[in-house]
Amino acid sequence: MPLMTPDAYEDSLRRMKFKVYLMGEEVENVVDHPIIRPSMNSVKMTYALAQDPEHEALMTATSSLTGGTINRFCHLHQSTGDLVKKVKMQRLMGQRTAACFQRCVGMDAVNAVDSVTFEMDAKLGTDYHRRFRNFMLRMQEEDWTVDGAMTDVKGDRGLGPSKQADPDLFCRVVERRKEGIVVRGCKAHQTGALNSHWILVMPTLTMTREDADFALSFAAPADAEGIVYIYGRQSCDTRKLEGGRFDMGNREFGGHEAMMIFDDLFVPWENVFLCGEYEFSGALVERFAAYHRQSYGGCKVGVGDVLIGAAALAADYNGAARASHVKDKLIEMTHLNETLYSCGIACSAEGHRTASGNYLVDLLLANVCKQNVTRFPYEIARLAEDIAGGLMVTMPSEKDLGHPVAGRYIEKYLRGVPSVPTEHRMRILRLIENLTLGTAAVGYRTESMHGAGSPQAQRIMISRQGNLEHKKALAKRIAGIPV
Amino acid sequence: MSGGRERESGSAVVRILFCGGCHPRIARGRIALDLREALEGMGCRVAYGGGDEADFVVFLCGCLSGCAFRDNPGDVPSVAVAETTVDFREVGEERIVPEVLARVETFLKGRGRRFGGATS
Repeated sequence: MPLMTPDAYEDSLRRMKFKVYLMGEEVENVVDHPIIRPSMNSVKMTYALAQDPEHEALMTATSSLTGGTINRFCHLHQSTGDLVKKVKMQRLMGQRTAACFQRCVGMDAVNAVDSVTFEMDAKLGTDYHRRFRNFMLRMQEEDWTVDGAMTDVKGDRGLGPSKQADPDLFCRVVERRKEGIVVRGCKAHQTGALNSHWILVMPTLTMTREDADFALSFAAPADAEGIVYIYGRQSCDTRKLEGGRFDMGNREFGGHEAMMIFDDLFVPWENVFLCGEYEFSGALVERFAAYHRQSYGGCKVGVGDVLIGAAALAADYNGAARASHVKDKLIEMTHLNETLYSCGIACSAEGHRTASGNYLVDLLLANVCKQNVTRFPYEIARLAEDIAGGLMVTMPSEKDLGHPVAGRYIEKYLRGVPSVPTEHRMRILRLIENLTLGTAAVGYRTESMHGAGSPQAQRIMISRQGNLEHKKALAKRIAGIPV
Repeated sequence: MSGGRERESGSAVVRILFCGGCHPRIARGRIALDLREALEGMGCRVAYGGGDEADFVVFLCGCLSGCAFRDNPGDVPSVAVAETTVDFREVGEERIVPEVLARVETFLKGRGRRFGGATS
């Protein structure tokens, strides 16, 4: 089953037994819960587009392990062309969902773990890469969605893992048995966790010798006994409970995050890929982060395409489209969005092969990409709000539009150009609201800031990769100073 | 590239092929000089640039993008240096020259067996 159908994917989730809490209640049916369901639809789209001949060139790849056709989200990148296609696929997915489609994090995790386990085995004589490749084969053959889990809750940021008042604030090994390990801790902000078949855990930062028990990478079924989820709230999330048609802005698609708690989770050795080899934790963090910073040069751009389109429609619908300042704002939004895309493509085109055979992005350019992503979507959102006007946040509800008395007033007074129904104008404004202030703002704004690492993390990498001494030598040569 | 002429003269030609050098993170020029000195000491002839004559190619790239070997399909035995990696494995800048020389030596030994003659 190298390519799972969308319905088979949904059915596979129905068979899973997640332990999850949402708004003070344990959720029995994750798939059909109205707050969760749109996020499942987004992941489901990764399966649907892979079956579509119109998109299979981006959505599928040839497995380096089996030679078979697989979903690109399960692929170990085999060339810079693969890295470029990854970004294009993510842009397409962003365009089709206007949301976080969640499956990237696992793709980025497996590509990072693949090269690091290979190098670890070569240096230390460990057996992690063989185990990991077995996991990869199953992932590809079963077309799993895998949730890459990195961010620990971290407690006191001024202290390292082993110095915390509560040692469980970083995920750690609490027991080593003959058959496997027992893990305790909590991963925060776990994107798409409840739409995933498996999780792939990685350390959250570079560990030192004294933090060896926290240098940990493993895979586990997402519904394994010992894993508890607490679902994260999103702005305006309860609009999904109102049963309406368009007040939620994007009725079909969304994203989600959850706390992922390991309450003494048992992991067999076959699924352990790093356990105490702290000196390789830094490379794993760095590579996963780089892949994920590349990802944002695709996914956020696709969502940006939708937001730019929505802003242009808002201008069309209220008759402002010909105003020069509106045209200029749309140009600026496009310029910013395409700059992000340029960075995503550039870090891919400048990627390189690793010792394990898969390809890694250019670290400097990937970090520049993500640094721009921490800024540009905010400006794009600001310009979209500017074009949309204040009605975006003062508009009555769709229920008022449907009311026999109030509805007549709304129809009459909120109409823009005569040729466009009032409801269409309201729908577009709700979509802009959703992307800039509502549930999708989690993905488009704050995730752009902090996802794949907060801005300072990129600046540290840019500093390391910037090659300042080379630049000094260039200046000396021009200035006539001996190099 | 081909190795026709070196077989006539008996000395292997090792060609050093640079990337463009837009963003180097290693001292490519110094490494090339060190390699040349050592390779000539091993009885090899060293050539630079993209000519045809080569029995073995050293791709010498300043960063991991590896433009030199990316743009040159490998029809001749070779070693790829990109930043501080040799054949995609991290070795550190100080180990680049010995790692490359080890690969050339291995090639020369194999060539000696294949052609039934000495390699220098």
